[in-house]
Amino acid sequence: MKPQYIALIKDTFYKELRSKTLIFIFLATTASIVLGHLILTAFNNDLGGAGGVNNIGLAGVNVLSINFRILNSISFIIATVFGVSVFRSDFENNIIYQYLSFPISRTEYFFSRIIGTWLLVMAYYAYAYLLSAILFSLAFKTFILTPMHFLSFFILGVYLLLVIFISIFFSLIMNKIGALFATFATCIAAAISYGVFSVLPLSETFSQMSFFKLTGFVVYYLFPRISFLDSISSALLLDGKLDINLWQQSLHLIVISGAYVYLANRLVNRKDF
Amino acid sequence: MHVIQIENISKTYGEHFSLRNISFSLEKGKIFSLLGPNGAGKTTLVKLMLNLIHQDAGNILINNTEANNKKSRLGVAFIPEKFNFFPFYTAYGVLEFFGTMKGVQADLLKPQIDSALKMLNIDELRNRKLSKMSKGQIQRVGLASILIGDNDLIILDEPFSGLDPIGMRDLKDIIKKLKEDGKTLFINSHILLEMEHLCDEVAILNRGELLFKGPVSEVLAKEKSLDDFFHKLINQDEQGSK
Repeated sequence: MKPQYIALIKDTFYKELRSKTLIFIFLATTASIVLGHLILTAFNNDLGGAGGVNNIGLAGVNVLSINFRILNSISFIIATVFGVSVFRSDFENNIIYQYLSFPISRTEYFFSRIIGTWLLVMAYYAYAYLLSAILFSLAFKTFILTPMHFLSFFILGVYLLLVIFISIFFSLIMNKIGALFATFATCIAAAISYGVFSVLPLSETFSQMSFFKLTGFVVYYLFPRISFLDSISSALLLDGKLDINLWQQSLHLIVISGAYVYLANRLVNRKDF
Repeated sequence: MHVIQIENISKTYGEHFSLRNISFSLEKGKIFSLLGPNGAGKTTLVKLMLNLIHQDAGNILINNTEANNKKSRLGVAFIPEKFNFFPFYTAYGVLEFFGTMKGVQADLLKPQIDSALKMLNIDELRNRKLSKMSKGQIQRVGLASILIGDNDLIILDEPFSGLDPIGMRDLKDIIKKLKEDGKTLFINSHILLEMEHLCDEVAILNRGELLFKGPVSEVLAKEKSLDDFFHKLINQDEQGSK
């Protein structure tokens, strides 16, 4: 990798690392995991007498999975907040002129910023993931991290990358607050439409068409189905079943996300700064 | 050899012409100043040269490469009117980052940074964060960045703005030294007296149109000073448009 890309990714990472929002969330997450550990340790002391090591281990895995689901939601918020601010802070501080006067293309600048933001969010996510796995394992006196947790971690990493991309896309065309709301609205709309249409048989898709159903239909087919990744991650964590066509959903996600990446890149390259 | 070639450039913002059919070129090793009142289109032209905005018509070549190609910015240093960077960076950190982005090899970077900090008399600020510096000190850090890397073309937008008299003197010395080293300097400025003494060539813009482009010696053959020439030309243009 070229030193310019590494410098730009590091610059993004350190720029956002100083965010008061991130520091607050980092401290709040650490405090809540430690508190969870203390409560579970006390709980385990009682349960340990009544149950057995197997029951305790199973309870531990479930508690850890639920904790990871909460972390996923927090990471989604962090990804959105940083995705929205990573470009806008360059505009607002009039620093973008400096970056674009270097011998790098706008595409390189754009993707380096995205990767830098993603690494920061993943660093938070990995920290919270490992801390809770270690402390909860100590509380339950057994190692409760399973391979499914790791798999879920990587799938959610892809989900967070797409959330960052969506928030950056909106930050290019609207202000910070607008981009924040647009990202939340898009992700919620995508989640609802995915929840409805992914389980709806094709024969029922076009029946009794209403305005809301039509809107959901458009969102389902024309927006990246990021909820698909979230649902796989949840299923892995909570041992749920997935009644969806994995190949079809994956193909749609790749094609539509690719189209949006292409559009965003064109937007960045055509924009006047 | 032409470092900058600007051919029939036009740029509009809405219905307002910011630049209208501008053409000129700049030879290597010259100090050139683009002059004009506020809103004349000077900054717009610099932004076009750096591909920060896109022209409606015409073509810009920097070192024979189209401005929308990233290679056109190889060997180009740019400092905006108010240099600004993220406040958590130290002076050394800013210069290190700029050097890396310009493609300077890691082993060559430190001596260049040391030399630049000394030349701008900000060696004692090397580990100080920008958040703890005055505006003038930050501007000096920005000016130090033009000494990092092998820059053939240096674009300075209002470089004397925000500098104290000592800073202005230091900057003039740097500009002269860069010229001695064969570098080309493109300076946007309002300070006509300084430009008269420093520059080889000037161009005068008013309301997006190029009124004059030529050597300072030609200006001084026509009028007592660049200041007189500038005001006469602008007044004539304003009266002609009424």
